[in-house]
Amino acid sequence: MVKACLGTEIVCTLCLSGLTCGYVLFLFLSAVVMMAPIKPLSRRTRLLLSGLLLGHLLAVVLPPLSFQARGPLGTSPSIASLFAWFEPYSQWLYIDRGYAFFAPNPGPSHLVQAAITDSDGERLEVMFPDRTVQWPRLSYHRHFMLTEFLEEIYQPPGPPPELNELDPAEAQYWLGARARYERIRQSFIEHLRHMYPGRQVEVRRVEHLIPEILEFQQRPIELTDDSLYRPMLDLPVVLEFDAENLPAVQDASANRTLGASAERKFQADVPADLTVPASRSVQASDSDSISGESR
Amino acid sequence: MTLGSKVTQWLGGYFDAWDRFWFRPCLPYSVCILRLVVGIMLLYSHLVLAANLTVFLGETAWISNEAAQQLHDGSFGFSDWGWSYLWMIESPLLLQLHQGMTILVTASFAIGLLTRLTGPLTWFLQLMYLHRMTGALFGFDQIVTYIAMYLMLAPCGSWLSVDAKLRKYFAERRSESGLLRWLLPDASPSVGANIASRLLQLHLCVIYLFGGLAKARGESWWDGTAMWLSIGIYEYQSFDMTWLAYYPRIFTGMTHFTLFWEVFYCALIWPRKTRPFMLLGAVILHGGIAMFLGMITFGVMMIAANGIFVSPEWIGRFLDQKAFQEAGESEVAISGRE
Repeated sequence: MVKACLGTEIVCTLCLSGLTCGYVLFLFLSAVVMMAPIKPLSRRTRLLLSGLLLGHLLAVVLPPLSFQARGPLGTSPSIASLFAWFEPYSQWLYIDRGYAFFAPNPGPSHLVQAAITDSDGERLEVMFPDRTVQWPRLSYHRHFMLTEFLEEIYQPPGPPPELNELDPAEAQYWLGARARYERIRQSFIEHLRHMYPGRQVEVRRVEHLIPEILEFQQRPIELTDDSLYRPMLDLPVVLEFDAENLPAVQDASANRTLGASAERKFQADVPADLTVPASRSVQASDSDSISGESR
Repeated sequence: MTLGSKVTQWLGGYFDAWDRFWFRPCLPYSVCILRLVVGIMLLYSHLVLAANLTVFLGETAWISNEAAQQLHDGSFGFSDWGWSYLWMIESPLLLQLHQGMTILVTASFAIGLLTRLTGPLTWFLQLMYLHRMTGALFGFDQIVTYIAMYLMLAPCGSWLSVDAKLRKYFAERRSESGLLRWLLPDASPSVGANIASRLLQLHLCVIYLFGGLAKARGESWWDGTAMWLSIGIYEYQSFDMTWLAYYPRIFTGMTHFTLFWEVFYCALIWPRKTRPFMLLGAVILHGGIAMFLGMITFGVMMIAANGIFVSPEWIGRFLDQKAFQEAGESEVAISGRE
């Protein structure tokens, strides 16, 4: 059922969206353009259209440029301030993309493993995506993108107490990012509970590694070999203070800057030498779910 | 000649070039073929979604309505301008009716029925799905949406369409009504077709340039192992291509080809002498993605999008001699008027 607030929300959003109105104008002018064979465009119309076209092209170029112009100090200020003007328009048209397909390096894929337990304690384990279940390929690929999305927005528990004092804004950002991750993970759990009514559901993220080329040449293995799967643990980050108050360092995984005067060290989600044993089963201690919420 | 007039002349040359680039009427054959392909692909996408409707939409979806809205509305401290009324629809029945309507509109667009109306509507509906399905999207969704967005600026239903049949049927009334001429456009050269083509061409250049630059930051695209890493991702695999591991010269060659082709696409696609090679490269690259990396829809759409660089005159001469001659006559008529 459409919520009662739908109308109000539509009106508010449309009223606020000045750039969307600009696009409506663009559409209107396109109707003028479409009549061109019948009536040639005037100089004034061409000037107006040129301005709109330039604006649109900037809105196309600036998002990937701003994506690439990020460094340890953040996004280049010149590009960030220019993009700020076009951001609403780009976001609304879904042209605010980075186009970094398989870049900078193709990496391991990220899956979601669920343990579904009924009241008798019988346990079913399923992995998403699964091409034998999700069909056709487009549907499978959307499931794959969802599990990658959960990894993309992952934020470790926190923030560390020290960060609240060092950089309150950053600590606030951390809280928001963590809440977002937990909200989406919980939504996954609720979806599975709807699919398997009356059962207990736990989920965890699993990384599916790519074999090293040299190792593979010497000792070929199946891409589905158990040794290539490892669970992603949900552990807090530990901050370590530097005696010389070194400047802020970049969190490569989250692609953003941490507070000043602190150097951080990741307590990795999973120890580097840990691999999932042959069973690949969900271990309660590895489970990524919030206790209580998953029930 | 004074310095001032030289500068004016020099600047005038740029303005003329800009004018020719954007506002010279062009034949709509490329955009009509693209409408057919993008319409069919969007229809397929909506049909697949219809079979999994409540998996991706509604309250019990992987990402529920509320969670999807929260990803955009600032609930977690970061917001964007993405908005979709699909966040509000909870009833599965209403979702099914909406999906049925979307399929109907998209099918009409694909067959070229009232494309002046179904084109913008197809794009708008697709945009609403994109803002609702955050997290479940990939390159295919981007490219079909961009093409649909640009096609609504062009008379993309003037050929290979039901509109073309209707145009002949209502020929007499159409000659007297401006609205009917707009609604059922003929396949004569138009500025709209040119603007839509140019926008898509430039957008493709941006996609490939930044795709290439982003790759150039990664070590594996330089040491050549990126292609191995791509075929080593099981989740993308359509066919087992791991045998390529024993032919490093081949997979590293494929890696370097991909990187350089993407980076230089924006320059080499424009000259007529290099364009055929770049288009051949697009077919090889995206054909490979479609066949071996499991993204058939994405690969097909990218090849079709590259077709926008094929001259519409060439398509007309090759595919529809009669329509091409008629269009040529109307082009003469326009030039005469201008």
